[in-house]
Amino acid sequence: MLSRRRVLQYAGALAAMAATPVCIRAAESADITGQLARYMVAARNNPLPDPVLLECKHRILDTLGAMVSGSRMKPGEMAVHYVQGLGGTPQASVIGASFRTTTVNAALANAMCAHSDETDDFEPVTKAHPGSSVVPAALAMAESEGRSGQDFIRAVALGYDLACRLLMALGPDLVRGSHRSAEGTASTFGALGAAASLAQLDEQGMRFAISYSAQQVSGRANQQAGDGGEHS
Amino acid sequence: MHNPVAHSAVSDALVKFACTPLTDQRVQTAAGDALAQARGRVAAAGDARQKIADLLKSQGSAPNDTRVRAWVLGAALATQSPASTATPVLAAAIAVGEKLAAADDEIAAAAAIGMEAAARVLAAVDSEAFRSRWNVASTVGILGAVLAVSRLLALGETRTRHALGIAATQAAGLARNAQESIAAIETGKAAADAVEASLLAKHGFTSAPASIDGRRAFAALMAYRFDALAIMGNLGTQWISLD
Repeated sequence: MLSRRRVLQYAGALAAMAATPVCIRAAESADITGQLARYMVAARNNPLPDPVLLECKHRILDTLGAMVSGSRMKPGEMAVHYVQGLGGTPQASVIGASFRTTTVNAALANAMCAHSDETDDFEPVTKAHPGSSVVPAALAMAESEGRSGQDFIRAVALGYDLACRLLMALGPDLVRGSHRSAEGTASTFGALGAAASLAQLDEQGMRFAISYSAQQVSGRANQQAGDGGEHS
Repeated sequence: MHNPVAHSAVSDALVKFACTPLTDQRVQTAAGDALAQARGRVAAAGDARQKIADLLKSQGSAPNDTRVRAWVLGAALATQSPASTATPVLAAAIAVGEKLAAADDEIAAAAAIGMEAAARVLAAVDSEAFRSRWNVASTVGILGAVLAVSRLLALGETRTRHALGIAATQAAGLARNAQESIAAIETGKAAADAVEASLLAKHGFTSAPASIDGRRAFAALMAYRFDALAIMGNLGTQWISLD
């Protein structure tokens, strides 16, 4: 006779099969992580094509606008108040406020402002909102690391690239169909692409950063109606 | 609105549990012992603890930032012994208890409730499939830790429910990294994220009520079975974390 535990294990295995209809083709020998890490290292030295550069500038301006308007809305005001209380070394600016805080806290507050009223941008294929995580992460890192405007723009481009590529590899509709917030993947990897570029990590550093981001990806789709989600 | 459920029996039970006075002396004593052991392990971590602290504080956080303190404690504990769902709870309870200068029995009560809540959530979702995918200590421990912190901060039921929901959306950690040193960092991060979730709720942030058992919530996303009774059955009278 099957024990209850065995039945549960079996049911769990079936559920797992049903929940993962995708074939995992990324065999470790293909070293997808290594390819991505090398791409990320190379991106900071590669000039962007003119149309991409222009589009990137538009996205930066657009997200700055979303941050400014969000900073005067309730979620933005609460976010700014929250990080103000945390203190820390003044490394990066909080938009719409008159203080600076740590890079991490500034990125958090600015991202919450950027997504406060959903005026932030939207990528039609993946339906991700890359700007609200990529631009705040890039802005805070560029300021604290003292990088140039060119470094900043290239970092933003790499962030948008990663946000959308990671989600496209997983299948955005599959991600949403599995109760996950697609934003969890897109935001985490988008912010990683921007921040790691400005940190000027080498290939091994990029590998570790990719691994840590994969480890941190979270976000429940049932939070999207509230204020609590999507701030990672 | 993705989740029209206004109430969740599971969230309500956990929140009520977190906000109720603890009278069971056996439970109180056991949690006090667990805290003393944890403090001993942190002290024994020595160099490893110092390296983790230097690394995490290099981000420029304020010296009294409770999130970072909880992170360091959780990671240091995880380097000393195999991490469990209790690890983030103990780290968060010590960090926040010290910050508030809370009495030892208050810290012990908060830790007891957090460890029990985490043990019950794990019992509700436990399976080979779950363990083969997720870092159990971080993904489940954060839920106990957030209840412990919310209790110490005296958030009250409504904000504790929001804190639980914010923590549920932050639950993370891959089994893939179980043998790597990053697993200890991740376990500590669960304690830090629990502190942050409670602080966000304290500052007025809200979350979906059915964050554990609702549609598109913690269990639906991460678990391969879910037994709500494992969480709610005899909660407050039977202590599965001690038996």
